[in-house]
Amino acid sequence: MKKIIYIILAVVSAASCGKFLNVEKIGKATIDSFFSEIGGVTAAGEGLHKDILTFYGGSSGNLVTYAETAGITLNINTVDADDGEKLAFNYALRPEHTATYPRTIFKNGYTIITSANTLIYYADKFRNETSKDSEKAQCTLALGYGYFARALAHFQLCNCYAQPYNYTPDASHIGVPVVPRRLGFDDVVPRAKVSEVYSLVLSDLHKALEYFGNEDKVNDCTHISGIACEALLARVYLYMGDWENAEKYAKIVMDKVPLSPRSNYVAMFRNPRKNLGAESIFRLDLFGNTTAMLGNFDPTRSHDYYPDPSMASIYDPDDVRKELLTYIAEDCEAEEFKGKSFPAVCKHLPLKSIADPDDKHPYMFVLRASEMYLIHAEALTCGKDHNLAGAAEDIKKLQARARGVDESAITLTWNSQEDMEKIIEKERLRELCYEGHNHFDFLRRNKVMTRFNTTNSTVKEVKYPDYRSILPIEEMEMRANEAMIQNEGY
Amino acid sequence: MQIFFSKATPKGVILLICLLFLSSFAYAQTRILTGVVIDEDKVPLTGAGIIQTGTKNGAVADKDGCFSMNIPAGKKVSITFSYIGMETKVVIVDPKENNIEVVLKSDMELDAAIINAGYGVIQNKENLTGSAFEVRSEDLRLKPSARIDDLLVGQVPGLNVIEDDSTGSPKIKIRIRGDGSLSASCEPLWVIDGVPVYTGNRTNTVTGTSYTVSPLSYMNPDDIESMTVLKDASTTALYGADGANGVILVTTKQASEGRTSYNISVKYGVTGIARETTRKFVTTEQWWDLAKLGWANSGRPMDAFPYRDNEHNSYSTTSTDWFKEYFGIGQNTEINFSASTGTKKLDNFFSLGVYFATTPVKGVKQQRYSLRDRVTLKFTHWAKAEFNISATYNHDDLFSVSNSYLEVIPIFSPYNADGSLRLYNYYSTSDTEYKEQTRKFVYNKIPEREYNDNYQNNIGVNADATVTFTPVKGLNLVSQTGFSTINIYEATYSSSKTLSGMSESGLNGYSRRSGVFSTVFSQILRANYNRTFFNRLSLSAMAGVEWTDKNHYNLNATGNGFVNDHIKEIAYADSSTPKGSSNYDRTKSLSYMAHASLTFDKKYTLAGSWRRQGNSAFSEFSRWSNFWSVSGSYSLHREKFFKVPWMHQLSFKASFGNNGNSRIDTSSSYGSYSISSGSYYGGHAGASQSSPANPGLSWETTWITNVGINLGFINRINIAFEYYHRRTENVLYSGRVSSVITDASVMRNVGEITNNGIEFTLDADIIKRPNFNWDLSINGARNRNMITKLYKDTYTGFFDSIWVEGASKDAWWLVRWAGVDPVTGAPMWYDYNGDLTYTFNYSDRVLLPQYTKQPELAGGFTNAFKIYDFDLRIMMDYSFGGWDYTLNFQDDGQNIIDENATVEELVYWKKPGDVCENPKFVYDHGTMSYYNSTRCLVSATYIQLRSVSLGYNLPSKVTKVLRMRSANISLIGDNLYLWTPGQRANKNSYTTMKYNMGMRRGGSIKLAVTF
Repeated sequence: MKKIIYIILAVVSAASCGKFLNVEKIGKATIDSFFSEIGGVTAAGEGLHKDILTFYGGSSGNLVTYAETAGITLNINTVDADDGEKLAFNYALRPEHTATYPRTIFKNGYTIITSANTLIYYADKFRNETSKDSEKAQCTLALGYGYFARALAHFQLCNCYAQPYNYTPDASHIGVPVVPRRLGFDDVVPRAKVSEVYSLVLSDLHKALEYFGNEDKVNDCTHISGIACEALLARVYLYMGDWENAEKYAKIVMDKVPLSPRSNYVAMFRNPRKNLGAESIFRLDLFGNTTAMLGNFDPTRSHDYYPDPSMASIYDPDDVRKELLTYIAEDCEAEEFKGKSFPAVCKHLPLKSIADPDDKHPYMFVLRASEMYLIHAEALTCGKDHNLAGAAEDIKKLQARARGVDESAITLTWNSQEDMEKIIEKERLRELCYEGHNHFDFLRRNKVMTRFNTTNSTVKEVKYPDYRSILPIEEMEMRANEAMIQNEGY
Repeated sequence: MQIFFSKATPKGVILLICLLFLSSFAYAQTRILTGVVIDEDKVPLTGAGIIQTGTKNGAVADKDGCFSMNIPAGKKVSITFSYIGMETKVVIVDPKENNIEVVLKSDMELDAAIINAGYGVIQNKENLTGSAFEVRSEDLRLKPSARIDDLLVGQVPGLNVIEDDSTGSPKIKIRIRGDGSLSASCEPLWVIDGVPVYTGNRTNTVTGTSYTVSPLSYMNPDDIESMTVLKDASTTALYGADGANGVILVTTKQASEGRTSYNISVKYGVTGIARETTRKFVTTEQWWDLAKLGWANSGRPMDAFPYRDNEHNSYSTTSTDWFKEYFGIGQNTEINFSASTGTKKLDNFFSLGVYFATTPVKGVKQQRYSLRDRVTLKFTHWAKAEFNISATYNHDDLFSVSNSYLEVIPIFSPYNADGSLRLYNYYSTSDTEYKEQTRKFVYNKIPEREYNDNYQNNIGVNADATVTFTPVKGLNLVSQTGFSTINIYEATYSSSKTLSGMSESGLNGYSRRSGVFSTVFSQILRANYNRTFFNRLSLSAMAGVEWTDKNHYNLNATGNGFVNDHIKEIAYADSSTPKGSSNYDRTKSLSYMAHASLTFDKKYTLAGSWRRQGNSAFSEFSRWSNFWSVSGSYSLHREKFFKVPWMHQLSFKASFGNNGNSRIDTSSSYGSYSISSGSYYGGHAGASQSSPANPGLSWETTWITNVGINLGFINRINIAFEYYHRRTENVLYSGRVSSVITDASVMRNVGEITNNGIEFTLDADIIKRPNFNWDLSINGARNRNMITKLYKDTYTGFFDSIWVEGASKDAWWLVRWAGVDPVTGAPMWYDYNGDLTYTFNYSDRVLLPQYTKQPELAGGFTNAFKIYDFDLRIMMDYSFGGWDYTLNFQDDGQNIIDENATVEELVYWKKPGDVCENPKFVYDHGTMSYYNSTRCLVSATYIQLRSVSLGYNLPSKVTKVLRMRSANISLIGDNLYLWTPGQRANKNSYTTMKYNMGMRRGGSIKLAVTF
């Protein structure tokens, strides 16, 4: 009899077994439950910005230092720089260097894409499910963030790991894996053609622009915006050699975003929280994340880089931008440094005398208006009309601002398109140095990278094309991804 | 085991003896044999039957257990002794023996022939199909009582107790038949009286406390009747998803019907560190010489040498033996009382124990108060209930002294001139000129020991209630409800008088309080059926359901900024500082299980087990899994045709099946998004994916094949061999997938590991005389593991080892040392390609299968002597082959200014042409000569004299006067000697390395009285 009771008990328990085993994991938000409330969507949007920050400059082995290390603007501090930095500087990176650029840029780039895809998926879902307008609006914003970030990461990864867009006439050469959706562990993702990467980048940016709608000014330059989409479109079209669209989008942004005045130029970099800068379109707030950049550049401590000494000579004496190459130790600093000056990349070094510790961190630029002038100038120069005079107008605006003189006082002389291109090249170096453009500027224009004769690199010159101009796919990725193809030469 | 042999005495031998006897009977000459029959507690067995084997000639013991009978003279005579409730015993009486004392063992001892595999499943040892090894209380009772896992050292073949004492309180890892996993736990499951207990997380660390005190130290070892280690699939498949690393069943003592007894035991012991097993360092004078030499050789000017006597430090007169500062003599006292009584209606076992210990590490204390009651109520012949409850209260004072104490230089003193504890030293740190500076003396841990708190209180309760109905003979319907909980309160406080408690902000004193509440609830309903049909066919079957529900809560609070050191509670911390946190984890599991075994004629046994288990830790797709095993055994010696007179046993066994390992970090199956400061952006709360969802994640499955042979010779020697092959598939490998998918290492069920090994045991009754017994038991094991599969081509490299397909996870991964260049005194290595190089590079590490951590053979042996009233037990454990690795022997002067030097550093290259093991002695040489290369490998062979105990049983005449049943006094020595092949008087070797802090040698005396 009792046996029967037990059998019944066992059967009953079997029937309810599924229920017994359902345990809510408190403290660990599963992805579904995390996104079940709007707070999850907004927090993930902030987290996505953090991912971009990490990729750009929040961690060592970042995009900005790579673009400059592989370019002509820096010299390396052979004592303090780590192996990865030296290898990159001397064009000696190999797939087995998994602790530095070949891996860090790749993984941080795809981390942005994973976060973006997750955010897009859940923000879209939430937007369809919620009935509150305010929540819908937040989801729309999040979708804009997601598409922009996905585009930015694909674009920059392609710059680092693939030959430039114009390497083959139809950009059919090998690019990077395109990930337009959330992936599972068993997905195998091969590398796409560069044209496919760019087509995703463009469609994402246009989609993001739809979510942001037409904006007439930048409301919050520390977050992605519609104008950031337009500005990035201008850059992407420039890289593609689509002069017409580059000019178009650059102009759109130029009309909306002014240049910062000269008086505010240095402060825009060195006391950024109080002087975000009128021309800022999208800059990354390194609040709480100052170490990577200070460690790279602060001359009063162990640092990895300093400007190539010749950089000072590319500026006119009255050029305000030159000030950002010399670090003068402040009164609040240690006795041994006080008042001394050092060559340093001050663009990433906020002043130490800033009183409020919350203000004392760099804001790295992703996009700012002066780049739009340079894109505009280049697009006019290379476009079908070869409007060199129009280009000169743009350049003059930048120079006049930098030197504190009227545009009319600036004289530019050129005899050919090539001359104008050189002027633009030099102006890009002056204006955008240390902001993560330099190496790519040589590459996209298929130019030989010739370093100053003051460089302390063993590599003085890199021709185009050269396999070393793009990073190898690191060894761990080669092992873990059977569809991965190594870049030629490695 | 010895009982087992005598039980299995072949009939042929007895017949032979009888024939001899009969043939001599014609010329019968008789003599009188007298003697006494008693039980193990020296109680006379009134009415015991004594009979000349095979005849009707016999006698009955009187009220004092004495007997007298006529037996044939001039011959060896076989006499059989029997008593109800006792095991029958056959004694061969020598012609010269006229008076004998015979001790009969109780029926309970017959249990020794039975293996309890849990869930009411029992198997006769002779017909055992799987691998289960039982350690009984007599092998445990004189061991150190600090914790129960340590009791098993050297006792179980294939069970390796790894003692790590690199902090003040030893940590123990147990490996049964090697590491079966990479990322999941490799620790066995502990089950106490049928209830699984919490022993920490995957790595035996208690989640929620800053310092771990093992929950296995909470139990009183004196309460243990036996520990059974289950190793193969046929025994562990019933434990399903928790059985992969083996199962250790702890059975506590219980009362038996008809006997009432009281036991009191008192034990006192001392422990100290065996100085010859600690790292050997140079003398203070030698250190001075080396420091100056290293400084000079580094090209620094001698007038910049950092240490000059000054008003704070008198370096030239200081010579500190840091060992003495940290270590002393520990004392331990243990008092146990137990009462056991049994009637027809009720059996009760009650015990009380206290244990106080201070360890050789000053500042570390353990206190344990334990009580246990196990009561069985026998309502009717078909219903009984058992209630078993134990409660312990533990207080542990901890002090974490890392082995860095070894390296503090002798010219620093722990005290200031005025006798206060030293926090700062004053010396120069400049390379070019002498410039005195104040330096924090963080390596002086004595202020922390004296002023800081670090203690834990735990209340642990285990309770289980079992109700058994027996509706028909042989069938038991059992409900077992078990509950086990530990509640830990941990308090640490860093005093404002110590460097760790000082704060630059002026908010001195740092306090942390944490609580851990862990419960395991289990409910088992099962039906067991045990019956023998036709006297030949034995059936044992079980079917059941088990629910378990594990909860783990922890919370903590911290605060700093206290007015003074007497106010340590966070309520009084500076109001800006308190922070708190809490966490919670819960896992439920539901299982259905069945087992059946069938033995025919005691010859053939066939058994099968099955368990279907679901675990809430896994997502719905992979929540359920099946575990099963089949096994069989064959006792050839029971066949009629088996006619080998000198063999009493020849049996074979084999089993195959699987079990699982669910002790993993389970958050990985769901994937998680978390808000953390690492994802904050611009000060706003930011979130990112902390682990991607992995819905297919499931438990590891281990397939175990086990075969064994048991050989018994001349009724005295028993040898068992086992071979096993453990293949763990779906190994959770926290490895990389393409960064395109995620950069986080993801847990995937992708790997495969195998462990192969052999084990043997040898038990021999070398001498078996009434007043002289010598039993020898030896065990040994050898295990080899191999990672046979990982995810694609990935590998995971660690500092000195690597997980890579096709290699053992135990092989060292090091740069090959090539000695010292005789010309320059520079260190040399072989690079990855085998070419000589002068620079150390981690990328030159190679896998060295010839240097593995795994020994060729390891185990233990015990000699037990019983001579009249004396017992002598000598237990040793050993390990042959295998390599360990140390970074600490020498650094060729690299840190000589800041660190002490081992004696090895006295030998170094001096001039061109010197052929020397060690490079040139230079301070701050930067050559990495001491980095992880094969130079640091040390053979890990050892033999250790674990324990020697000498016991004396007071003669019954004396105990009778004292109204005791028995009294016993024992002298015990623990860890008396450690031998390794490389040990030399003035050299470091594995002897000085096996224990970071040195071997803990102990001596104790124990008095046990039974009334």
